[in-house]
Amino acid sequence: MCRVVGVSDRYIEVEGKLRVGEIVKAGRCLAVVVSVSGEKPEYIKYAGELNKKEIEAYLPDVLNSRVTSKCYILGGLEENLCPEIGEEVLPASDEDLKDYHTKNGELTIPYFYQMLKTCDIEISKSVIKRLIKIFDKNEILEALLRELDYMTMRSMGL
Amino acid sequence: MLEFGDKVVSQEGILKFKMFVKDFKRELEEKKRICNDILSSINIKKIKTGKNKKKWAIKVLDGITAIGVDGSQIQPLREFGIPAGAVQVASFRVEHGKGLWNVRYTSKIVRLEENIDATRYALEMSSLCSNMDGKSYLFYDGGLSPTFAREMSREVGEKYERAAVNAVKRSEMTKTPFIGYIDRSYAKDVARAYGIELYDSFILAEMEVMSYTEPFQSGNICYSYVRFSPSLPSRVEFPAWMKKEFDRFVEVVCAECMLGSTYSYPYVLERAHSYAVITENEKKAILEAVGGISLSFKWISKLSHTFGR
Repeated sequence: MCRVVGVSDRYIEVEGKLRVGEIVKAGRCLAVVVSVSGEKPEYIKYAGELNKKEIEAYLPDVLNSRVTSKCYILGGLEENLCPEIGEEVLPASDEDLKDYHTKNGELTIPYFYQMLKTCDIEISKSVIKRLIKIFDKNEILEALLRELDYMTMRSMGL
Repeated sequence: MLEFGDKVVSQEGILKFKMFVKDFKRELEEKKRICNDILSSINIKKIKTGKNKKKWAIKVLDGITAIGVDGSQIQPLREFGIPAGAVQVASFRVEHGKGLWNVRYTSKIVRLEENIDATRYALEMSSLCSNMDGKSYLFYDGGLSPTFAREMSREVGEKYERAAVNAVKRSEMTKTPFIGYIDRSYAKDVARAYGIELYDSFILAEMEVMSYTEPFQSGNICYSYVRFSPSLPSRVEFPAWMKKEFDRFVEVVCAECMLGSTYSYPYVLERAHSYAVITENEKKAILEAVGGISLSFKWISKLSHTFGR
């Protein structure tokens, strides 16, 4: 189970392995995973003459290393709620994403400008790609993705 | 006389220093002689692990389920107006050879007026009891006879006593091996039996590495000193019903220690401890979460006096 272990400014720290670019729901908030980092596994301290198979069988828990994921908060599902420490983090469902991104029947991405300014461009691209899947071939989303692709190419000097 | 009317570095001062060191050395040698006499009168057995201690350990532990229980606590944060502390107990269970493991937590919010150490001990003992299934080996980081509790208030002392007695009784009833491991013991039981006031671990400091004393009994609890690393011997306490088969049980204790990172403390307890710890970040999180509804400690004290809580 992934859970929130830290909250700061527009970011949350989550204990547990998530995928970079994945949109998650932490409590009643949506967030996108921007980085994943892991600590050195503890088995090095215990291994001695034992091989990996023996460690797995006799000291199984030391193979687990603590993995934390840093997530950028996109927004609150109900209001501007901030996730609380200890809250469970789950993959965001299509329904949640559709609800959040629809206002008066129209597509809305209130965090887009801030996200683009703050996060890596690839993160923004993965968010838009996920939205394209939900809002079936939405022209605005496709135009945004093309623009992001162009920005990437421009930054590479192609 | 250690006091004198001159500078430290003076003829008299140097003489006093020399005399002090000589006396100290004489005393130490006398103590060492007594210790050696005691040591030679105690039956000490050896454990043969072979050269590869970890490989030996996994052979001994193959198919054994071990459970380590340890707790941690947060004192009431008076300075922040939080009138309660908390206790968190982790039960770490591992099925050696099968690669299966889990950690279960039991926690309790502790009122300001409660003795948090006694509550933690009671919660640790009750976690141990709930794991007594007649098959697993239970390890606890501490003693099974809280003799220190006798010096506390009657209510607190009884809380300790009750928790320990229940756990020891249940271990006997279910025939679940139950081991209290005291890494650094300040007990003087062996010494007092010989009429001297020294720590047992000091008396037994010259025990060979990978050896243990035959069990001593005190009421329904037995204890033995084990030395599995070059550091001072550790004390192992266990219910008296285990005494007959202690040689078999101590082998499991030794194997757990050989799996540990230091070779002198059971792996299962080392892991339980790491899961039990309430980290500084977690403490900060509690403070952030509860701090918003904090109360004035002055006000709490006044209410406590008024209502006798």
